[in-house]
Amino acid sequence: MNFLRIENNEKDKSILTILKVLLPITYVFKLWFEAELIYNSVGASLGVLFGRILSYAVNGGLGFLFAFVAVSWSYSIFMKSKFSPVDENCNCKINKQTYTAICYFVICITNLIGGVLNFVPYAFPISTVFSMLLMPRLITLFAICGIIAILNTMCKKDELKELITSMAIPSIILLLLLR
Amino acid sequence: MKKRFILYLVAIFSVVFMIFALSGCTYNKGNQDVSVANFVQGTTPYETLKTFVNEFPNRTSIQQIAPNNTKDAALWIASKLKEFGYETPYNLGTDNEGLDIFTYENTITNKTEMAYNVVFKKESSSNKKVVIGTHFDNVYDLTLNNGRLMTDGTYDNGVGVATLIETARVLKDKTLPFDLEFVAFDAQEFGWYGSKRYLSNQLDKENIILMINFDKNAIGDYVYMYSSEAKTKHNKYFYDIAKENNLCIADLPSYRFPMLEAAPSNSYYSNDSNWTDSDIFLAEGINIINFISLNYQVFKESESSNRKNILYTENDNFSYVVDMLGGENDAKALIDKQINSAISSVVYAFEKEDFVDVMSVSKANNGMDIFANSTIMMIITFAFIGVVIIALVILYYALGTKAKAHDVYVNTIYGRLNKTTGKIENVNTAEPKTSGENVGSVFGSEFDNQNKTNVDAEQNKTTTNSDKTNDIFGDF
Repeated sequence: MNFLRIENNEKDKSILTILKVLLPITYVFKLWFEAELIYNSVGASLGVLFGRILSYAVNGGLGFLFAFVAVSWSYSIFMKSKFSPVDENCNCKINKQTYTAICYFVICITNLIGGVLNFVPYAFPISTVFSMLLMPRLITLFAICGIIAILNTMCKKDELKELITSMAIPSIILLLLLR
Repeated sequence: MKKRFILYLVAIFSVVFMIFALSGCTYNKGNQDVSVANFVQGTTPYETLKTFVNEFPNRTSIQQIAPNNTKDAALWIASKLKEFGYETPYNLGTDNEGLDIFTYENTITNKTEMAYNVVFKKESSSNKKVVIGTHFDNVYDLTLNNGRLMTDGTYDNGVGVATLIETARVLKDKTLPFDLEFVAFDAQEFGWYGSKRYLSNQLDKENIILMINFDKNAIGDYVYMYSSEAKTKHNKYFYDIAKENNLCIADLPSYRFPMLEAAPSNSYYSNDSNWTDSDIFLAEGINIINFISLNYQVFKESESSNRKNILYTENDNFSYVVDMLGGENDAKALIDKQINSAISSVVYAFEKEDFVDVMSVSKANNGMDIFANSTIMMIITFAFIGVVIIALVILYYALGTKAKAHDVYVNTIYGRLNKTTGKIENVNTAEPKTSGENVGSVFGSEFDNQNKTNVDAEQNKTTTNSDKTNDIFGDF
């Protein structure tokens, strides 16, 4: 996961830029099921194409916006924790760019998984609540575990306790805000 | 490394979109060249459809509009079933004519309206029962979509009535190992009142092993069979029969439209296929098979990919449909083919020895009722979120007591705050000591100003409690 270690220079930021572009796209894909529901209930009157584009864009955009806030907020909590991994000068070892890249990378992957799992309602008689509420939370939990796992590779071996402690409240923020 | 990373991402995207794009493109669309030899013999669906819709074009279940036609249409269906030798089940509220007359509150007219279900039966020595149903009312003279419709309901649902009558014709001389009931529902268009009424009269719902419904089951590009969103045994049973006999029954593609509005069952994931009487039965946990003729395309759902829409438009007229299908011969060929495929799959299924056993074992909801119940899923979801949050808080306190805290310095947006001395260090240094230069931005300027005020206060030693100066979350 070395490519996710991003220093504060233009060259390294290209990875972050790619992830920032990919994130909203993956959110549109992940939330296609919800977007179709919205289209069928309120968007259809706007036309097949425009109504659908609007439903997908608004729904995916909201997902991205929530993710952006969740990642930024969770980092601000994480880096100020007295348990967050620090260097010899007591500075947080994980800078914001790196943390953001890790989160976006994991969320992109879980969004793709979530988008594919939206086909589950076609195979089983499950309610829309499962697809729209429970499944995204399960996927978010999976994403949080992934984020902590990658952060752990950037810490010392005996810092797992500190890392998990410092990520407890940020994890709650991610759990509640990520769609 | 970056190039490899980008390649990985492109590869993942490609695979996902390929799955997405191709997921429904290869489904079996049934044998469109099915011949007469594949069908049970003795049916005349096209003629029955033509007679029915021409004689009773106005079948709207509103007395102001159709004071007699709904009843007349019901009596015509009853006469046909009686002619085939079926009997009236008096225990289901029917009169001598086979009509179950009832009233319902119409939400469009805001009046109590009268409606007529037609119910006929064929008894056996078994207590198991199969119900074959269709609705016969339409939306003649109602104002829908873009205007007032003068539609005879050939597609919705003249074809269903023709299929019911022709199925009854084929089955009239057959001895079956279960009771059989034919039901023509009234007042479906206003809220499935006919099927609700029929089920409310049933004292032995648990003995109904299958409900077969015909609704808009011809004229579209393909004929689909539908049980529920589940892959049920009874659905597979019917599909296997359709394939064995080379009938024109298409597999349901995986990309059907979801709809937000609740289906009649009010708990299932909903699409056009279950906006019909069979869903009332499904809500009671009864196995259903519904025949519907449509063309499910990616992000488009209509009767046909290259013809005008019919449903709830002025095009739902027999003469228009015949012209649209290329004249009488072509229309007859298509309608006979599609209706005969549905009839044949039902009759072939009834003739199989294991039919009753399979239908008795198969579950309408595939044993996943919990996942189909929105309320239970809602409770599970919030319970899950609550448990995870509690677990994280417990984890924080449990591990926090063992973890090594570095509480001498705390990072701030201006540098490091030494909690012991209460001084900010590394202020205005060019080298970023943390990436926290943007910390607080998500809280807005108010937070930043508050933080700055606190830090200034620390520097001026106006307060001695430095622990409160830097973090809205205390230890964090």
